[in-house]
Amino acid sequence: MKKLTVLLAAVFLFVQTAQAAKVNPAYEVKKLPEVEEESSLWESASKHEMRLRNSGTVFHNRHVEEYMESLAERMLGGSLDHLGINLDFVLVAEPTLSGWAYPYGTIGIHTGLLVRMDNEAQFGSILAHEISHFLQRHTYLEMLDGDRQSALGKGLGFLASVAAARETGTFDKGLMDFTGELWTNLSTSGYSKKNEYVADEEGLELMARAGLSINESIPAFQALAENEVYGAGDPRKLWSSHPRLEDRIRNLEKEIKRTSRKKGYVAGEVPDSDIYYRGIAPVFLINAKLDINELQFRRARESLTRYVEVNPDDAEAHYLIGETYRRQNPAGPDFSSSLSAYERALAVDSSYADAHKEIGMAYRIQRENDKAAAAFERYLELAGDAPDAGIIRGYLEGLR
Amino acid sequence: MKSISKLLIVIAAFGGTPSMAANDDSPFLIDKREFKKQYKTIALSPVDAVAALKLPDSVARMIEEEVTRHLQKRGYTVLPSSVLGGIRAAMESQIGGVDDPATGEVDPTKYQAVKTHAFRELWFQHQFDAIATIGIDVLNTRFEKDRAEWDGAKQKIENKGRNRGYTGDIVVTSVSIAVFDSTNKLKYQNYGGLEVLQTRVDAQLVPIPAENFFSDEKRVRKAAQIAMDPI
Repeated sequence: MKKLTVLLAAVFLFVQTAQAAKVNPAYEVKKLPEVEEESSLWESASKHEMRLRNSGTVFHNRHVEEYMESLAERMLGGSLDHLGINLDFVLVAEPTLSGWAYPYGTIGIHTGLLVRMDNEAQFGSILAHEISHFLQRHTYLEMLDGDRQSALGKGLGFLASVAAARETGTFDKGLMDFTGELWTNLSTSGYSKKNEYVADEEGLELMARAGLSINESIPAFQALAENEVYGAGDPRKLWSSHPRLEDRIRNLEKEIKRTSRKKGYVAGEVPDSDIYYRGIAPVFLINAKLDINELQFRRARESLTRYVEVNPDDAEAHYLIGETYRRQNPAGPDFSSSLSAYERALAVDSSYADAHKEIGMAYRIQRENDKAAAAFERYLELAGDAPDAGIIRGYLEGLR
Repeated sequence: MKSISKLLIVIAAFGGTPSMAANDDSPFLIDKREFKKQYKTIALSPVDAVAALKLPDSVARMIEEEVTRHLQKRGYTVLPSSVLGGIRAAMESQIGGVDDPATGEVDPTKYQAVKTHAFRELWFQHQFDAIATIGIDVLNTRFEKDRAEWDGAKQKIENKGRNRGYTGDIVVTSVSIAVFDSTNKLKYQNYGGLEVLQTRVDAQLVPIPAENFFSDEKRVRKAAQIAMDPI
């Protein structure tokens, strides 16, 4: 009974606030932005996006963007046609798991988030959530509700800023700062709990409209906790380890039950992972390299394995799988996994010089000098001008 | 004057760097007993410091001596930095140096090639379990009433002028020790406060000439000891 009272009070509070703000969803208004205040918000956000796009961390791939656009289209149908707004995507090469929405509908996604999703429905749940923030104009609402200082969550520009900082070496506070304090507040504190829950609820509806299983939103949000592996003391850790994520998942579970009892609800499908893997394939490769740099070899290998399932003829991917084994266990003594991966790379492309070199390095450690020498010789034939060619020649001399 | 300008650049660049050790509960990123169990042979890399500090070879040797003595006392086998240094030098020679002949600047691809191969070769020849990198960090720290206290060290700030008891931020150095496993994962990181790099003249903080750095042998040795103490 007490819980019910609290819930009613919360609902009452939400309705009150929403009414006070008088901000209708995007699909219910004739034009966007509606007022000058909102225009300036869009302008500032756009500057943020441009700075991010110029930071060198953005991954451009038309194939992936088209895939995400088609998924968004299934969710939205023609509901935004009257506004002349097309959703756009900005893919940030960053191994952590994050997504955010600009107030005019551009959705920011980290490559790390894409690769941790197992199927289209899981990614769809995150995408739908972010689209809902845009549809409900939550950034603008937060601006109007300026007194609120949410202490919950982490997201938006802060993570984008971290991504940019990784590339540029400096943390650009400007990336977090527009329209006074708003961007900073949103960036460091996330949306209000109320707005997050609204986005959760609408996100499920969008998923259902796209024919995706809403149950998949639970593993998708649970995956956000994986940010933990990217280091203690990292501010990004807060995004995943904050109790709020658990609250969000609990809320989603309730919403799933509620949505599935709605009239006309049709249970969506859990699509084959293969469809999703094909849709985002290039991202697996990009993110695996980031994960290797972060010394996350197992995670990199998982991504690469998914990648080669749909791109078996990519020599670099096989080579990188070998690298994940080698770097995870550089001292051996078992080099069979890395050697097999390098051999697979060469089966695809016998001129892949680095695979020859690593085969030579592995055999040298195992004192199989003839095999090592043969591999080094082939490397030098193919990459005699490589920066380390002189060093390899030195190894070769030592083997003879 | 030139060295002071360089130092000011260093101070500007590093001034905002906080002392990480102060916020960390433990310098170990692995259980201490596991650390001792897993790592028996520790290789040392040469002491690294920004050029503007003009780290004398004798001081670098002194710091390495302290680190080595400490590790050996605790039962570790130590590979001196000269081993890695020798491998690096040989490899640099094999590729004709790491500088770009056209610009005279370091060619990052050549530098990286030597760095990567040198570590791998060090392991190939000596099968070490972990590598300790030793550095001199420049950072800002708070001082109160003309006394600075950071990374386990304390130092009175020399002052000229009538007024006493100033409070503010001042540039200092610390010895940093980081131990990485064979996959390059950080397993230990700690700092030992070394010395203050500025003096106070009235309300102004003035850089100490680089020639005067590292002149107190006791402070140098103590800094290395503080950084190593938890191991």
